[in-house]
Amino acid sequence: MDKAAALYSFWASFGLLAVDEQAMYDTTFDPPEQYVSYEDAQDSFDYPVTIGADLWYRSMSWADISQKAEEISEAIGRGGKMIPYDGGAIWITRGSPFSQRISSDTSNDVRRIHININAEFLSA
Amino acid sequence: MKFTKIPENTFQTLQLNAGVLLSTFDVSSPAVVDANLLGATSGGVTFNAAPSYIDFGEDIDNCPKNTKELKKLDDWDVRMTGSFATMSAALAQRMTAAADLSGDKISPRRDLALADFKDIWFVGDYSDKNGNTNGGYIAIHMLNTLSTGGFQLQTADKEKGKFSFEFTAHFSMDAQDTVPFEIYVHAGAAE
Repeated sequence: MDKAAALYSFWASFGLLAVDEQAMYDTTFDPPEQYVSYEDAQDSFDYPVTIGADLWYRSMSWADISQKAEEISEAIGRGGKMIPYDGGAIWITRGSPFSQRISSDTSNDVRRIHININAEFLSA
Repeated sequence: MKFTKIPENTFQTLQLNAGVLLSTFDVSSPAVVDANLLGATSGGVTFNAAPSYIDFGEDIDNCPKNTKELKKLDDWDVRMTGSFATMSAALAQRMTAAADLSGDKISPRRDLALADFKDIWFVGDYSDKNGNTNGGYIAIHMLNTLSTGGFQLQTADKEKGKFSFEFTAHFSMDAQDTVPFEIYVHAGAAE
């Protein structure tokens, strides 16, 4: 598993479709009811990067999407989470602010929460 | 670049996060028992086990300085420093060192008692396996520590108070050859 696959496996571990945010610009992208989009940013040992992600829920309520953001926060925990890849691991910790509600300017039944994580790729 | 590298197992041998300070810790059944946490720290902690040496060749004519056969280990100075962000009556007593605790009141003494010397454990996350059951750890056991920094409180406007500490480990007459610290480096395993 390479770095990109490890990053994908992290976001895909929460029971949602996980898509590289670049895929959203594809005109054929058909967004499901719930999914998470994330930045695919990578670096190496001693150079932590901030990675943004967005939860997208088609709903009038913030309850479910907020619960999912909390689930991700708890999974990372205070000390962070290690995601292994070939020859290394990603050390993921919560960014600040960790989560932030964002209103949609195109549809009032879309709920979006932006999430920040810090990721250090522990290899060359 | 030929010599710009890191070991391939770097990600498996890193110490992570600030760790915790505990009154006791069982390395055979590693777990953080909440009641054993001394308090919340701020800014991490610093552990320093510094040996001091005597160079028996230093006053011998024509003897090079630092000749290994003439170097003798004189002593160890073992300290842990940092700041607590939280305080309790029990911790205040420990930081005051020579003190008695009665209810909420800490009464300093002018004399030390053997009971004022207590062990402290630092335990921090280690390795790439950090699960709740089999997570790796680095543990430092300091024996017979005494608060040599005394009780300190620094307040600031619109900030949390900080209680700076310095604990020094001590030898004991009962075990004079036992250097008062131990280090455990335990790699984690898959959950």
